[in-house]
Amino acid sequence: MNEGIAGKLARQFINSKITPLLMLAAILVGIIATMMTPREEEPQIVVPMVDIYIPYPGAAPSEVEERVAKPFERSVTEIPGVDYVYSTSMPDFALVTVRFKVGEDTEASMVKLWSTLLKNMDRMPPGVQMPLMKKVAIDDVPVLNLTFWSKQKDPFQIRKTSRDVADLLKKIPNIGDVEIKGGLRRQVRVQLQKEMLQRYNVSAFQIARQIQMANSRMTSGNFRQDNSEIVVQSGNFLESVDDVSNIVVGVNGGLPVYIKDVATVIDGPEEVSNYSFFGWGAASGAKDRGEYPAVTLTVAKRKGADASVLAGKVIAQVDQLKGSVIPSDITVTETRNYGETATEKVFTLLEHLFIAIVAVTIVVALFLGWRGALVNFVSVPITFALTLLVYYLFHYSLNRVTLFALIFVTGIVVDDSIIIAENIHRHFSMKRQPKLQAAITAVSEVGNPTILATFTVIAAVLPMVFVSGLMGPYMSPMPIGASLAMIFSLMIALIVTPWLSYRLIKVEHGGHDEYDITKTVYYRLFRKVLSPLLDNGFMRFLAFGIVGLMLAGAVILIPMKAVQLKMLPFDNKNEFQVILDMPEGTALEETSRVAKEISAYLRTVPEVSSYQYYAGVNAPINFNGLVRHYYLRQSPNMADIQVNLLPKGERKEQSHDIARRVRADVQKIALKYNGNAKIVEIPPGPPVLSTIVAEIYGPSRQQQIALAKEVRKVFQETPGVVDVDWLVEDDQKVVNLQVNKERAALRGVSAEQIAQTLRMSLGGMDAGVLHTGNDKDPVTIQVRLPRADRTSLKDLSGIFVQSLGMGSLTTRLRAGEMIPLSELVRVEDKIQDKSIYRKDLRNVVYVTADVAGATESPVYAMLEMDRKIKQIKLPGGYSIDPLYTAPPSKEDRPAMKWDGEWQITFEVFRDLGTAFAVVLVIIYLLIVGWFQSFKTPLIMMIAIPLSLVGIIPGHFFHGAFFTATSMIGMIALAGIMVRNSVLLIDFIQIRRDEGIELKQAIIESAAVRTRPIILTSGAVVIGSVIMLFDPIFQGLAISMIWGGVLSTVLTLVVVPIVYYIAERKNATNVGAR
Amino acid sequence: MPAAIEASTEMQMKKILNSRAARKLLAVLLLGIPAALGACGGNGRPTHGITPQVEPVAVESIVSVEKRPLLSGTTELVIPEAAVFHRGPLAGVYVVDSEGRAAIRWIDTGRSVNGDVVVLGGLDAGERLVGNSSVQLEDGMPVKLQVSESKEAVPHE
Repeated sequence: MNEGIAGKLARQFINSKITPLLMLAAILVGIIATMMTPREEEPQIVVPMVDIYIPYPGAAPSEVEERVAKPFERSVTEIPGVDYVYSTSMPDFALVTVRFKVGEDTEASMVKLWSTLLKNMDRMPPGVQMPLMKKVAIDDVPVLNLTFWSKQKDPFQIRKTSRDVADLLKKIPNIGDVEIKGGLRRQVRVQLQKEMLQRYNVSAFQIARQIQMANSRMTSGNFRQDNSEIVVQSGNFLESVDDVSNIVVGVNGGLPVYIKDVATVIDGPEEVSNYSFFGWGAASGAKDRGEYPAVTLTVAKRKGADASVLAGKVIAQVDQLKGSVIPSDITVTETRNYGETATEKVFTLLEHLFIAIVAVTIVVALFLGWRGALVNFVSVPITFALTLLVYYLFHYSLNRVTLFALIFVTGIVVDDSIIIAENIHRHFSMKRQPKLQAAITAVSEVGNPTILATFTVIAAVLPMVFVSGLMGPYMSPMPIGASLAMIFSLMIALIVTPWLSYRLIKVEHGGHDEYDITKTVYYRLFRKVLSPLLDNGFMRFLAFGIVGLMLAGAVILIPMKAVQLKMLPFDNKNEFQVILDMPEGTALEETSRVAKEISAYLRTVPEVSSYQYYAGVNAPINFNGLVRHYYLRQSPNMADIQVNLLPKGERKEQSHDIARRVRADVQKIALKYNGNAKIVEIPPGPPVLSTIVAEIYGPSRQQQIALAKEVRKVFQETPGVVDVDWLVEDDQKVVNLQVNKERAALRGVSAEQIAQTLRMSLGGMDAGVLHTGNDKDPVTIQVRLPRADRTSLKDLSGIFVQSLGMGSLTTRLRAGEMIPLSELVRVEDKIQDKSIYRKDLRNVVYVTADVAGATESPVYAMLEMDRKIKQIKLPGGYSIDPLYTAPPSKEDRPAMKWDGEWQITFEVFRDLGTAFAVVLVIIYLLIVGWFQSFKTPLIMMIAIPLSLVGIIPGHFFHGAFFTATSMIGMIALAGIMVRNSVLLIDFIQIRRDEGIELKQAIIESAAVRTRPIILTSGAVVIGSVIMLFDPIFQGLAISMIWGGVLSTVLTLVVVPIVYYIAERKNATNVGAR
Repeated sequence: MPAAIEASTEMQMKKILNSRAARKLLAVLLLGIPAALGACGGNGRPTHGITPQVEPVAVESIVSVEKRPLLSGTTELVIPEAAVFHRGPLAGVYVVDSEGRAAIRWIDTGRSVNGDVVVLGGLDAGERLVGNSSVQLEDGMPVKLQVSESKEAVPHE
């Protein structure tokens, strides 16, 4: 027999001394690679997303939109590689978010964007200030949160401690941004006393100016004297409160007026700008029902660093600081540790991997004995060791996606070794040749079809690399990892397996002397099953009919909704967040009160271990918040509650079920205060604005909002649709002070002066920083009215501005004359202008929602709402037809497009579908090349649709969603099933070449090949069982298990029959000849 | 691990404990077993009736948030200055709910007028507060009025 590549390789290595050394080396490098590859939770996703803030003080949103956002958007779309452009025009500034295509180089994109921005600065209206550009990257998400809380200390003291700790932590290598959330900064507050200002004839404006001027020091130069240079400095920085208090701001009655005469100067905490608190939950076991002022220190990591190592170092460092920098009455609690969860995830997956390997080994042992099993048991770790090495070399990190790729292929990579070992085992027991020769013959016999089969499986998974969009980076490590593992497993099967088999598998003594296939159980079984089908046309017809019915029955489960489609199910995380939005204009204390009440409920939930709420400042962001811009949530009407749950192992329910359970109660509390609370979970895949997003387009904003209102109503009425919200702000009352220009002119006061004075009195004005030596945060000096004096419009009456006098050319008043502000302004109530959102150059209003409860898959909720939305009658007799794939081409009438998870689902299933089609073509080509026949590949590919018979009912029985991972399983299975057919038909042809009659050849082939086919499929099935318990990979496991079992059984029957029908004519011709 | 047991029993119990009465009955049976506490918390409002009663803390007075009209036609909320306690820059009061339980509420205060202080945020008109904030109270502690000090009755179960 022709040995082929496989036989030659086997002959080379079967007795070589280098083989065991290679094995050892491979395992060693694998272990080292596993140690050195950085571990993290989320895959490294490079989505160049850049936020650009363009300040345009004083402008209304509509002006910001027209003059800043629109022109800039237009210029950005010219940049190649830009995927989406979003803009939000708010009072005073525009926020433009540019998303580049996934995989674009971040630095190059930033440079392109920056140059475009600068190029267009000359077209911006006057008054636009320097833009701020910020890159948003996955590494901005903190991996470790340490919450500092105290029963005695106040937020100001706690912040100072955590600030000092943060400064020390920065020395740790690989540490990224260290930020502090919550707490109050140190500030020197110059609280103006209105009566005193009036008495001493000093204006607020004057004070700020004097502070600025007094706070300067300069190197004036130097002079030479006695051969040395003497440096001359002038001025002094303000270094203490006394320095500030003693600044002279004016002269009254010939005496200097000091700041301390007209204002109270306080060195201490800034005015309360946020409320952040920490509390224990029911699951912590703490009897403590209090909640304590808290400040959270967040630690991000640098790109490519190992999250768990960094977290470990930071924690060790913080432990050392306890007692010295951290006083004993401040407790530090770990409220997020992605390093730990990443390590846990990695080790759970490695454990699963090990269980899968052991399970597969046991299956092999049942068929080939423990020696045969040992051969496989050794070859799998070598395969993975090499794959892990490649991961390390390619700078992949060990995360849930890369490891998933390994588990996914466990069942497949053993196959090559099984096929080879099984055939060697069979040849040994046939005893036709001496042992060494038998081994080489065995390898030659199945080696080449194995190579082909391996490539068909690779061909099946590799096209997944081409999944585009945000899901791409999630998917791509899988086909790459799986393909690499397959290639390594093939090499191991051809090099190591023969070496091991030759030494481990014993030639059985005794038993039958001459191997006779007709005596085996398989032969008798297949003879009984296949013969009637081969002989009798009607039976064949019946068999096809039954299979056809099963297939139809399986497929119909999908339109019947017995099996639902969903992109990815929720993962079981240890946290979730509550996002609370109170109506715009709600006071911070009110927001914090609602947050506190929600927290008080959440702490009673048995699985909650601790919580922190942040009112007025955003909670440390997670991956979701990054894309949703949660880091901008810093208004008084917003609060975030971070809820930490018990670790997975210590609770029964999955985080998603807990989130679902608490949702109604949380929302009830929020609704009592007219707030909107959303339960936000970390998505298993790429984050989106919301699970369901309706983008509403239209010719005018009124029409958009009118339609949005209707759509929102439909959302709210649909069961299973929760957390409904829209990105339209509530009406917020604004008091507009109109300057009476004539009066102002007659008194010699400029409009700017009035604006500045008002701003200083109400909002406060930073007049510089205090130059202290030992503070890490800059200590600002703020001039402002005390809180008690700025609570109503009435308080404005006591504020004065100074006349500019003759210099203004409009008055005869003496310069410095105090003019009450109330004389110069007219009060008007109005409604705050609302933010304007745009996406890809179109104005848009977003209506968002999540799904939970009645339906878990957004697709079905969307289809249901679609019907209702179509019935909406718009003024003018319009009705709308929601769009699914692209925004409307025209803006002359209202339109709506679905977005959110749907957009990603659509892209993924579209790309996977295309990939699947490409897979089929490649497999076809591969087999045509091998068998030199156009017909045979088609026969082999019959097995592919047969897998659906198992996959869809499998999902039904498990009550699972058909997810993206199910689809991946289905694609991979296509490769495996074709391989089975290849092995089957290859053997039929070998037997027929040896002159055996067609029917006999078919039955013999089925009999001989059943064992390896059942073994390999069994390995796939058993290797997947462990994944059934993982919420995300469940779909894949179901596909592999159910699809594997049913299509294997059907393949063994259907493929031989179809082959018989196809080849019958040729066979009779051969017989006649 | 007790926490794990707590979590697992929670689910099974929740099915049985769908009515408040049943919940109370069962909790009485299980009183003393920490699991009972956890079991009942997850379903709807925290069920106070089950915790072994803490002796109510006696307070001198309980006052309510008053709405006062202003000359300009608007109104403002005032509370006695004594009701406010300070923790660094934070100002807080003890709010007493309808069941007689105290809870800390952080508020924003404005000017003070003759022993009263204007509340700018965090309180609603008519809410009841512990009149003298010098007592140390924790969230959820029951409070009662010292008899004879004030005539205002406090409904308390």
